[in-house]
Amino acid sequence: MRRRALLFFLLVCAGRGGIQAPRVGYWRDAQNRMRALEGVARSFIPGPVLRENALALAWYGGGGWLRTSGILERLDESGATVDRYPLGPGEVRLAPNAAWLVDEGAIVRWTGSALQYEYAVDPQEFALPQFPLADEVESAEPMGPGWWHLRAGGRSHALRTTPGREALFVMPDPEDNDAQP
Amino acid sequence: MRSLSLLLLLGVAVHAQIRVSVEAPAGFQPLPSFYSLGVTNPGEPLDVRLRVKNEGGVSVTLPTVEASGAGFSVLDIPVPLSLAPGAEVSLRVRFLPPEEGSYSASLLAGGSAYLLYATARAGVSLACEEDGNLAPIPSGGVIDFGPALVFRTVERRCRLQNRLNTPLTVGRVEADRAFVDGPVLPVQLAPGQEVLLRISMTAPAPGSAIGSLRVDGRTFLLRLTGVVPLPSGTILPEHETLVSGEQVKIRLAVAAAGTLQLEFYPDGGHPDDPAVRFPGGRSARFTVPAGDAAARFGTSDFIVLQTGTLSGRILLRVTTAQGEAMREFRTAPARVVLDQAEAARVGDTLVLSFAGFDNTRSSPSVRFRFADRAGNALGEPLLIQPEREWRSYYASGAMGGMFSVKAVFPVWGDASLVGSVTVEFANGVGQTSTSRLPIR
Repeated sequence: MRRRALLFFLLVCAGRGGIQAPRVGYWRDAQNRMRALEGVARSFIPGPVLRENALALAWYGGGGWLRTSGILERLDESGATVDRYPLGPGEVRLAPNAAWLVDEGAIVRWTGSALQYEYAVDPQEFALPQFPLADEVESAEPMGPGWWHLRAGGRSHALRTTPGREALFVMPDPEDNDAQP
Repeated sequence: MRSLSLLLLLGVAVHAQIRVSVEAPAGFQPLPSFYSLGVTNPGEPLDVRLRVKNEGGVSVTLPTVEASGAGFSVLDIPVPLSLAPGAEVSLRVRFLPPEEGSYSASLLAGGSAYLLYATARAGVSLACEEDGNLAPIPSGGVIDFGPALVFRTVERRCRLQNRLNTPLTVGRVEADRAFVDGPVLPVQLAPGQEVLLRISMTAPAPGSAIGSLRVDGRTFLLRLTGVVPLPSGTILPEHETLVSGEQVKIRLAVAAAGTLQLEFYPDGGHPDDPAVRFPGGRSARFTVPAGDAAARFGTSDFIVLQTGTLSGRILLRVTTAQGEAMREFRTAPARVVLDQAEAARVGDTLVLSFAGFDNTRSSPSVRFRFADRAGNALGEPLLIQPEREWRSYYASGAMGGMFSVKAVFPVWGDASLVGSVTVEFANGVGQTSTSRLPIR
């Protein structure tokens, strides 16, 4: 028997945020402050400071990582901290659900509900894409699904990596960032 | 009377070739033997700028600069001060009295003696708006009106302030080569009170125009640089017609450093769009390397302009010491632009999400056309026009015309039979349709 699909109900708003300001994701400015990046491609608006002392930030849409002094924080989809892991000073590489503590040869994995220490490291999980401006890139951090924040030549760029829509854009400086020209 | 000796020690052999001048409303004038710096409040600095020039044919080295005693000091002078023939150096003499009274100082320069005197008397203070803040202007200080087109009147907003603990009366406000709009005089200011002073200046010709403002014996310099229109080809966008939602390179054909400013006037009385900007905001400084004829923004020969997500007028203004140029661009009302469109199946629910902008900031209708896996239409298109939701969104402080929309379709039956959807957004300008979105 062939079942039929029947569309019968539509929610566009109804208190579930049907229409909202678009958000690219979260990024870390030159003063190590975490901010939202609002807008769409070519029309970016840096948001206000959300966190200070952000030494590394990786945001993937559904969650991410924030490294502060001595702490690795797991962020949920709203940007709130849901778990913490004490860190030494060594190098840490970040992937959507894992943090590679390079000096320890181990990873901290987000299981969806907790952080879990593991010894099996697959470097492929932490592979970076090829970036434009490769010679000049000072830092590259994921800031949303299909988006990377590149800092090159003292300036911020938004790199779109969505297949078929790859492009590099200039990212405006925050208006409250008095350290930039 | 307090006195102080302020010594600029020069070799006797070179005294005749040193000339000292002082900045005055008409420009630098020879420093007279007796010179009044003016009046200031106790504890408030009063600066005068001096220029020391070697008018002789041999180099001069001033071995030391000495200032002693309360109230006066010399600032900005390198020690030892070497001056090649024809060279000059600027320095400041600062009068910073600790309390009310009359003060004097002697200045020896190149073997010539000068007597400087000044008065400390409690009185009104002046501060002028600058980049949204109030900047104090010391007695003798300069209120800079910047460059402006010849015959264009420029206004600076200043405040007369009572920073003392006792009431003050301002009895006299006069301006030379400027117009002042302020309170009816005399006016009494309670401690902490201030009144607005609007000062207007017009440059009658290219070059520096100097005026003065006198407030109860305190004198402030007013400076405006008259400039002429720059050629029409000064502002060079990457392409001539700008549209909303783009980042476009702007180049400037100029021969002198200056400022590029942006103003945005959205259509329809809509609120401002913060996405219309340069990387650093709505103003950018540029330099021009010697002998070049193109602006440099840092190390780049262009600056990126974001045109934002509202239709309207974008006005660019270039101001240099040589002139000013303006150019207006119009971003026309356009169809909805979609930057992102996705469709997903979550259990028995279809979740469609879109991000983009409507530069007319209207309430676009949205039409959904579902199809099965073979591409055959599933029923009639669904049309919605969520005007209330659009209005609520825009009223919530939306940014320009940008939006993200999430539409959720619970499905009765087998949701896996739905293979794709095509969506149309329609505003007053026209329709924008997605490609066929596979439901993942």
